[in-house]
Amino acid sequence: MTSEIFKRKELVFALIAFLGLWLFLDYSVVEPGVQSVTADILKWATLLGGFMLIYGGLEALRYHSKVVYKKQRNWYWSAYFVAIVLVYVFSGLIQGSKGMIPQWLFNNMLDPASATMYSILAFYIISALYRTLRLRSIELAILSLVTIIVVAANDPIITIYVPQLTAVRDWFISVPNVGANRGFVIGAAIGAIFLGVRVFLGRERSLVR
Amino acid sequence: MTDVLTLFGTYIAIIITLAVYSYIIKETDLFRFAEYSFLATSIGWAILLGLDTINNVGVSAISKGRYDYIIPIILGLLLFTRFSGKLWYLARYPVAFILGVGLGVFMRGQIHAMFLQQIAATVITPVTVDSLIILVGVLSVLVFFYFTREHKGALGYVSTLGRYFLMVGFGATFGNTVLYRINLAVGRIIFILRALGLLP
Amino acid sequence: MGWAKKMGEISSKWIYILLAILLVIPLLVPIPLPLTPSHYTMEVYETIESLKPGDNVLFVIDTGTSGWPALGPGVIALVEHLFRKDGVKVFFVEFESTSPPLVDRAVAAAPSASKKKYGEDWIHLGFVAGEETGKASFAADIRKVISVDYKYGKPIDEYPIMKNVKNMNDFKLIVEPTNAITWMEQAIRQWYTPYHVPIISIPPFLDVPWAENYYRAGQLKAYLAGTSGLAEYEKLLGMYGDATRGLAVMTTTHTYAIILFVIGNISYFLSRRKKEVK
Repeated sequence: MTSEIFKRKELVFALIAFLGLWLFLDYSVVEPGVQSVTADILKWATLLGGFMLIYGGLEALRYHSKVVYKKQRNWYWSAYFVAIVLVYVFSGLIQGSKGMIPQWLFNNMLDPASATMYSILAFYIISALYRTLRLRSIELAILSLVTIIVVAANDPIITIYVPQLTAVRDWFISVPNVGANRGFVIGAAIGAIFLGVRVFLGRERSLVR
Repeated sequence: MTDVLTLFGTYIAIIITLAVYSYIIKETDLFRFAEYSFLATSIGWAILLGLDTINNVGVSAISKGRYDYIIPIILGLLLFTRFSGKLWYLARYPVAFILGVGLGVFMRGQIHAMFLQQIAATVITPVTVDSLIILVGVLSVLVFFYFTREHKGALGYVSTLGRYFLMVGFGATFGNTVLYRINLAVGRIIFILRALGLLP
Repeated sequence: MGWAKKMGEISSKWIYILLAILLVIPLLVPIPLPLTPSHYTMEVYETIESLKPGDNVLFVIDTGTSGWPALGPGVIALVEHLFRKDGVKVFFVEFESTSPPLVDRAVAAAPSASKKKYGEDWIHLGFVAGEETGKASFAADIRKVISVDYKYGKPIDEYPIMKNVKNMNDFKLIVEPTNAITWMEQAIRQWYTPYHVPIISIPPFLDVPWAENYYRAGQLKAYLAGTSGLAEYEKLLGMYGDATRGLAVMTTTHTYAIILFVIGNISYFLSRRKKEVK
């Protein structure tokens, strides 16, 4: 019977709505008691954030362990994955997250891989600029010309000979771009506010599976 | 021993960097090595950070007599019921807690910062050509995102103007993306050249 | 005009090889380039220069390891500038999970760090989970989310620097280099809007158009824009760092990008004309 009550989604939506409204209304309340409770709620959420990090890690471990167990495609890479995660976590538990092994893995594997993954896009961006930026229509022409003005203004040699380019780039970024951007931000804010109201009223069912 | 480990680590870092770049040519086992190393170390690091957070925020509070912090710890443990076949529904509650708190925190900031202050910045400003262009841009982009009515006639023209403003924004972003991605690549190449002793 | 069509179909392999060469050569053969600080750079510089002894600065490194290659030089320059200011106290904290070890990297690279005492002039508070919720929680009461420092794991109240620091109201300035505009937006929502503490940032360069919007709205006090912005800042401090070193690469690669754009469009228009004639 108790488990049936906890299975009901209405309880979950009520919790989301209650907490959301509490935090939202706390902004305008200066009652110290209320603010103290809010500070604790925020701290609890931070603590839960820590659990989320661990849960995500364990979910990935579970998936790759299954691949190894069932010897599915590329199972040896999954075995490598599981081995590195376990070495990382156990060495971190023994030595602390600033211990020699965790720091070695961070500095020599995580850092270079993470940094390089993002930088590889440099090659694809140049290729995209070459293949897709065509003056095909008005929209593409505007996009392409503004792109090239910004690229040229970011080129130190070109700006030595054409210093006005910097001012043109800055004008594009600080006037029409701000107009577009601000419209985007305000529009997104309106959407987010309405979504929040739907959640507070319990009408947004897609949040919970 | 430490010097040998440091040197070995530097070579691993160089190999991983070049392995990731090898993807441009072809996806090889070398790239997979870098990919799985990245995934595994990110997960390991995230788990350690999570444990540190629980220790520093939760366990330290309980050790100082704040026994009410047992509640969020129990809530956090409920997350792992997702792995169980029968009790999976209990994992909804910690997620609901985070969603509710996150939503409240986000909404209160969103209304003030991303809505009211942005409107104020657009409207409460000295009247110049630039500020009028910004106002036209904001209004036309908002019309572009208004999908309740078909964009015909006057609405269509304003919506088209909004699209042009958006293209300027995207163009500025794309141009700066070229700069950013190249800079990231420069940073990695500086690392390799420095490790090989070709740069100070 | 088969050559016109071929111009628009250069193999990706050659494009990448040439780009790789243009990335490496200027680093090995430095090309000195003139630099004049822009008003954006000067605004950041003057904001930090205006800090007085006793002012507390919250330094939030949210670049992560992914953004460090591009933004790292700017972070080091800002850390160096803050450490040159007598009496200014710097508090490092992170909300992006891979950022905590980057503080040590930034401090180690700042020459003036050797004159500063840990626990009195600066402190590393560490990582706070929860992103925006973590930021809100930190701003309300630091001790609710951080009990020990990251560097030594000692209770933060044992350090003199933490004596009169309780929440966001005790900070004069926030410095937040980030690898995504969302981190800056969170800081604007949870720190600037309720507590009115000014924010200086180094946004990822692709988000400079977004940062400009917040700057124009007065929600962002100042920001460093692009490689030239970081190189200008190094020049103001008399440093020769990786931003200055990388500036020459911008010349070769950006000129290359423009040439490719022109070639691609010439090919497109010539091929289109041929189709129309047919």
